[in-house]
Amino acid sequence: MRRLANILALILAVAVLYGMQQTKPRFGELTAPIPVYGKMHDRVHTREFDVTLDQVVFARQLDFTRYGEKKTLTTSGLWVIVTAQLAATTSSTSVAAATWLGPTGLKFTTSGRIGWAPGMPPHLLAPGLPKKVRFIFETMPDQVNGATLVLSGKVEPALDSEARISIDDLKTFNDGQPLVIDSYDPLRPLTGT
Amino acid sequence: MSDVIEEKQTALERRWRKRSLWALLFLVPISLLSISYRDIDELIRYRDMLPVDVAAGETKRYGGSDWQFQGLRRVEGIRPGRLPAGSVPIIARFVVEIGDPDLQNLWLMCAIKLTDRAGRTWYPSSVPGIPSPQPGIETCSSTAFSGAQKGERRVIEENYLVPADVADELVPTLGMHSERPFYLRFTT
Repeated sequence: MRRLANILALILAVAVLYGMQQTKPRFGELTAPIPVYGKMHDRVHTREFDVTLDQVVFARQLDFTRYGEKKTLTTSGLWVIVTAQLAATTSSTSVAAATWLGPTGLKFTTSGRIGWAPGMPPHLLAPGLPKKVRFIFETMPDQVNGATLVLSGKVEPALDSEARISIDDLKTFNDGQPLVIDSYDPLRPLTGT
Repeated sequence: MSDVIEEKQTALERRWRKRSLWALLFLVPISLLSISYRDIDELIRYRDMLPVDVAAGETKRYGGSDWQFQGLRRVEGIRPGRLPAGSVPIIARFVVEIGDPDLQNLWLMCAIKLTDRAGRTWYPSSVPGIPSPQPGIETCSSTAFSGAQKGERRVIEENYLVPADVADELVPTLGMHSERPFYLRFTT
């Protein structure tokens, strides 16, 4: 009887261990960022910064003048220009990573084609000194409706909060297609602080 | 006969099982500590946690050198419009007499921050339009790599951009990897 009980306990232990091994979260899941969900125009509060997403504009091309030289950036998709207000909560920090997350899960990081310019990420923030900033992405027309903007301080945040703002306030046509303007100047100063 | 042996064994077994269970009380914390000791030791060096107050004008040894806080001053004369609305540029100045010249190790992660009464902190930042410092004045990190010798006196300045409403209540703090979790909190 005792031997039988021992064997049963052993089998049970093996089963439990096997189950634990199979369901063990991976390191990436254990240290995944903690999402803070929000909507456009709401103040979304993460551990290190507050963000208010003001406006999303779509454009066919970007036109700007730098060092006296006119530049035009075209795309076979769409330019997305997101303007937001950022403010540090308790300590100087920066917002380095922004991702345009399409409805099918495609991720678009901020475009590096414009090069460095004032108002481009990484955005350095200080408490009490909110900033208006731009994030510019290149995406595809079918990745617009139902998209999410993901913002975090670091490129690979671990166990830190990350803002996930649903893009729910778009100017669209009756067929659901977003309003796309012909040209946008990404270096135009943003009004406000 | 065999019954007696078995009884003895079970008694022995029981006693050892009890001892083992009691031992867990010590073994588990000790093993956790021994595994994570290095991580904890490294972790506490990233944050200023335990303040050491330094009176105004007092010289304090930190990171192997003697630090004296000279004061915060506002920078005037920057063209309006260059700075964000409601912000004030501030310079913090320290005089340091170099003790142990191994600054690259001792002054690692040197951070001079400003803290307001609510506990918010400002790191040094670039201030548009701020006049460049006089020759010989450097920041904490650039001094660490300047090859300063023992006994030298150096002036260290850091620039900040802070909201105007807290500019008068800010207190500077100094933290380094080699000394944390202790950090210096200077009285202004």
